[in-house]
Amino acid sequence: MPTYEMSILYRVLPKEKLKEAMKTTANLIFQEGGIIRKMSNLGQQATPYRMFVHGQPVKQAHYFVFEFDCPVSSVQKLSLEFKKYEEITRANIFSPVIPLDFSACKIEEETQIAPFRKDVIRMLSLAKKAQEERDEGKTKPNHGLDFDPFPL
Amino acid sequence: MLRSGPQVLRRAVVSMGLDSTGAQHAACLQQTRGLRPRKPFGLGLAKSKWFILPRKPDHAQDEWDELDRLEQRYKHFIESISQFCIEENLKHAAGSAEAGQRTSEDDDEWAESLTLIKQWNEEVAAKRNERLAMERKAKEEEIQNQLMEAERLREQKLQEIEEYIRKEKELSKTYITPENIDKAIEECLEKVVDYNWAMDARGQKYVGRYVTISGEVELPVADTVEEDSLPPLFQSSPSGSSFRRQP
Repeated sequence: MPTYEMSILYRVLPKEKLKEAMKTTANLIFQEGGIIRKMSNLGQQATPYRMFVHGQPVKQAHYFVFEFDCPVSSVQKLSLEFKKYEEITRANIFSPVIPLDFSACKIEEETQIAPFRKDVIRMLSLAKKAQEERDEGKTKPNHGLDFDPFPL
Repeated sequence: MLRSGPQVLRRAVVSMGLDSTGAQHAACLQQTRGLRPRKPFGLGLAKSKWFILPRKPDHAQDEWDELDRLEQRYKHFIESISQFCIEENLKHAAGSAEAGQRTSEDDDEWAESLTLIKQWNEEVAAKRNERLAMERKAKEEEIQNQLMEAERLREQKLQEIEEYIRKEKELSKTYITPENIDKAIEECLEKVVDYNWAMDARGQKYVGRYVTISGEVELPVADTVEEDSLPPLFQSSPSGSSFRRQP
């Protein structure tokens, strides 16, 4: 089961109702055979724009982030299921991005001129390979000149 | 190439190294301006030429006689030469009596060449066996190395998997399951996290946001940093002598 991240927005609700809504959300994940790794509360915030959910305007919402594991096949089902609830304003499921590793200093490697940088070398090799694939089956002139003496 | 203009010829001449000033001499090279299409051979003779007989050359009788004589003479010579060649060939052929006689010299030469060939074969075989042995040894080493590398990779992979499993086992204590969901929700609602932060030129980190939900401006309290501990560029009065301006 891969890990997913879900940013979920609830309507502004009294605490008890919010608890219930969160529990139904969690239960939906549990029904699919998933587990929740972490839940973080980002607080009540203004939405970036006025949203309309089930015909009601929404300007403020409770922001939450769920980290959970569930089967790949049930991601679509879950995201469709969350749309049925009035309490849930938005629920978007993402695959988590592996953060970049900044632990080691790579300034020397990065300040080299272009043809010595690793990513450039890799890019050039890929381009060369692609060109060779494109030129496969073509005749090679092998005359050692920098221009084509027989352009026809 | 022939269809292209004199520019190409000039370039070709220069490229072949015939003349450095090829542009002056290239005008002498023969050029054709185009190719006139011909009829294909398969079509045969044109219908209009079918019944036209070519005119015979009009010679006098003595000239005809002379031409006949020369032709007969030519045929006679050719026949005699070919006959001679056939006879010579038959004389030295395999079935003839001369070829059947084998002298002792021939036998000796034959035996000598056989021994020589045998010797050569042995030499080449020795070299070949040596090379094959070396190749076999190298191949064995290569396979051994590959096996060792595969084993190393397998162990590394196993270690990685074990590490992953160990971490997951540790994490599994904090998983949220139907048993502890109520407690987790209450804890989550109590603690609001804020991932926003900013940093100023002095390297101080401000966690949180300035404006609250109610619209009040709430400046966060920065961690107190002693000015001496900062790098000299960020100090209001740098302590180092190199940064002090001379009056």
